[in-house]
Amino acid sequence: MFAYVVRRLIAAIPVLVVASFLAYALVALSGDPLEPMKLRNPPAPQRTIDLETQRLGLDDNIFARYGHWLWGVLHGNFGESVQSNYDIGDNLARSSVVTLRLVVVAMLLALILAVLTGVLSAVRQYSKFDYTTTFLGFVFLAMPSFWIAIVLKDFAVRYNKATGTTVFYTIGETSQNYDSLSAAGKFGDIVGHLVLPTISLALISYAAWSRYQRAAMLEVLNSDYVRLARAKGLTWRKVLVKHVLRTALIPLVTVTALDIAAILGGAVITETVFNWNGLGRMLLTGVSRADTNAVAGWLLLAGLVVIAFNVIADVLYAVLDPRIRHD
Amino acid sequence: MTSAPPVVPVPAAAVVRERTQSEMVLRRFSRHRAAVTSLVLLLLVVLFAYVGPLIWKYSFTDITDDLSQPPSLGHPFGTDLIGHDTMAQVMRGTQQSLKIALSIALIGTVLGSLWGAIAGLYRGRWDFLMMRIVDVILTLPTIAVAAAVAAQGVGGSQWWSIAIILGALTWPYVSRVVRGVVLSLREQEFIEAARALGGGSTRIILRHLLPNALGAITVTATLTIATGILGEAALSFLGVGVQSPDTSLGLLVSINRDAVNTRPWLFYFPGLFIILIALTINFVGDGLRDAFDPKQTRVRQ
Repeated sequence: MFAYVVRRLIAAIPVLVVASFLAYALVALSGDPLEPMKLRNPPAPQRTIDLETQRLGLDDNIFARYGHWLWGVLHGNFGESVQSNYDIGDNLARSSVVTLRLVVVAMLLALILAVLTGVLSAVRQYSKFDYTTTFLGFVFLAMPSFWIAIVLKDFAVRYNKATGTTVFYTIGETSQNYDSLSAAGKFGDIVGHLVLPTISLALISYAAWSRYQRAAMLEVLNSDYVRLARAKGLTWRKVLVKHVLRTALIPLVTVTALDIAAILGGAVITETVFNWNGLGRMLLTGVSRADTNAVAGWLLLAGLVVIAFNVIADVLYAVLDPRIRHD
Repeated sequence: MTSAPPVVPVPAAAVVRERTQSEMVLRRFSRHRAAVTSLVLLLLVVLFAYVGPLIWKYSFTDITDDLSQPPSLGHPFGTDLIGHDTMAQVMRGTQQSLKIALSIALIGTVLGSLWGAIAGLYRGRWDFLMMRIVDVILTLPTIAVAAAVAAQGVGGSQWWSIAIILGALTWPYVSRVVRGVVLSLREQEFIEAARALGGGSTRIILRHLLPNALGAITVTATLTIATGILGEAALSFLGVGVQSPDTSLGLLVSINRDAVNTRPWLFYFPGLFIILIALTINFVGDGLRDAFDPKQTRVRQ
C-alpha cells in the first residue's frame, strides 16, 4: 500500500507541473502588474518601473519566468510579490491552515449527513422522508453557495440582535481578542466562527452526495448477494452495515475526491461572505494585483490538495473493496 | 453485454405502428411530471427575460423617482437606492445570465464531446495524452482559475468573455462522460459493421458514435447550463464577472448583499431567479436522463 501511494504521488508530478505552468502562464499573460503604476497620475518615474520590472522578472520570457519560479518553490521560496513586503510563502502557510480547517470540517459534515440521508431514503424508498430530502437536495443544488451563506448570515445577525447575544459569529475566522484567550477559549472561538461557514459550504456538497449515496444504496439493495445474505439468516442490521453500506460507499468516495477542487472554490466564496482572512482573500488580493507568483503559488497548493485527496480516495477504495489491492 | 430483446407475443389486433427512438424519448419525458412542470416554468422565465423588457414600462437603465420602494403594483420587485426598477433589472440580469450559461454549455458540450469521442475512439497513446490534459484542468479549482483570468478584464469583461473562460473550464467534465460512453459503444457490433463496410473514422464518429451518445450528451449539456448559471453568479459575486452598467443575476445579488436586512427585495428576487433557473434545469435534466434510459421502457399498452 505504501509503495502504491508513493507511485501515485510520483505519477501526479507531471500533471502538477503542467497544471502549475498553465496557471502561471494564464495569470502572467492576462495582466500587467505594473499597470496601476504606469497609469498613475503623475506617472511613476521610469526608473521605478524599470526596477520593479527587474525585481519581478517581467522582462524574461514566460518559460524562463516559470522555470525560475518553480526552482524557487522547490527550495521553499515562492518568489517576489507585486506588493514588495508581502511574503507569499508565509501567507500561503497561514491562510491554508485557516481554509483547510473550513474545508475539512465542511466535507466531514457533508459526508456524514449525506450517508445518513442516502441510507435512510434508500431503505425507506418513496417514503415522506425520501421525497422531502430529494426535493431539498434539488433545491440546495440550485442555490449559489454565496446566496446560502448570505441568507444564513442574515438570520444569524437577526437572531443575535433579537436576543441581544452573540450566539453566532458572522465575521472573521477568529475574534479580535483571540490571542488573549486561554487554550480552551481559543478552541471555542474557532469552533464558534466555523459554524455558519461550514454549514453554507457543506450544504451543496451534501445535496449532491446524498443523491449519489441513495442511488448506490438502491442498486446494492436490489442485488442478489444482499438477498442471499438475508436468505441465509443474517440480521437486517448486519446486512445493511456490512454488506450494503460498505459496497455503496465506493461511488461516494469517487465523487467526493472529484469534488474537492469545487469545494476549494466554494470556500473562496464562503470566506468572502464571512470576511475570513484565508485562502479566499489571498487569492482575490493576488488576482486583483495581477500578482503572478502569489496566484500561481495558490493554484499549485490547490492542485496539491486535490491530488492528495485523490490518493486518499484510492486508499479508501482498497479499504472498502477487498477486490482492490494496490500492490 | 447485449442481450436479445425479450419476445413478447402480441395478438395481431394489438400490433401498433413502431415508435421511433425520439418518439419514445418524448413519451417517457412527458410522463415525468416534475420535468414537464419545470420545462414550462423555465420557458416562462425565458419569456420573462426576453419578451418582458419589450412590454414592461421601465428599462434596466431607467432611473425613476421612487427610491428604495418595497414591492408594489407600480414596481412589483421594488426599487433600489437610486431608483432603478428591480423587475426591469432582474429581466436584464436573467437575459444576460441565461445567455452566458447557454454559451458555456454550448462551448463545453461541443469541445468536450469531440474531445471525449476522439479519445475514447482512438484509445492508446492519444487517449492517455488527451485524458491527462483533462486531469490537468480538473486539478485546478474552476472558480479560482476563472477569477484569475477574468479579473484582468480580458475581452473587456463582456458577457462573452466570461462565457468563453467558463466554457474553457467546463469541457473536461463533459469529455470524461462522453469518453466513457464511447468506450462502451465502440465495442459493440454495429461499429464493427460500419468499419467493415469501409466507414472512415470521421464517418464513424459523426454518424454512429455521437448520435448514440446523444442521450448522455444531452443530459450532461442540460446540467452544464445549471452549473453555468451558478458559475457566472459566483464570478460576478467575486466582482470579476459581468460589470456595471450591464447586469446579471449574480451581479444583482452581489451588489445588494448588504441590503438583505434592510431592503430584502433587492437581494431575494434576483437570487430566487438563479435558484428557479438552476432548479428547473436540473429537473429537466433528470427527466431527460430517465427518458433516454432504455431500461425505463415500459410494456406498451
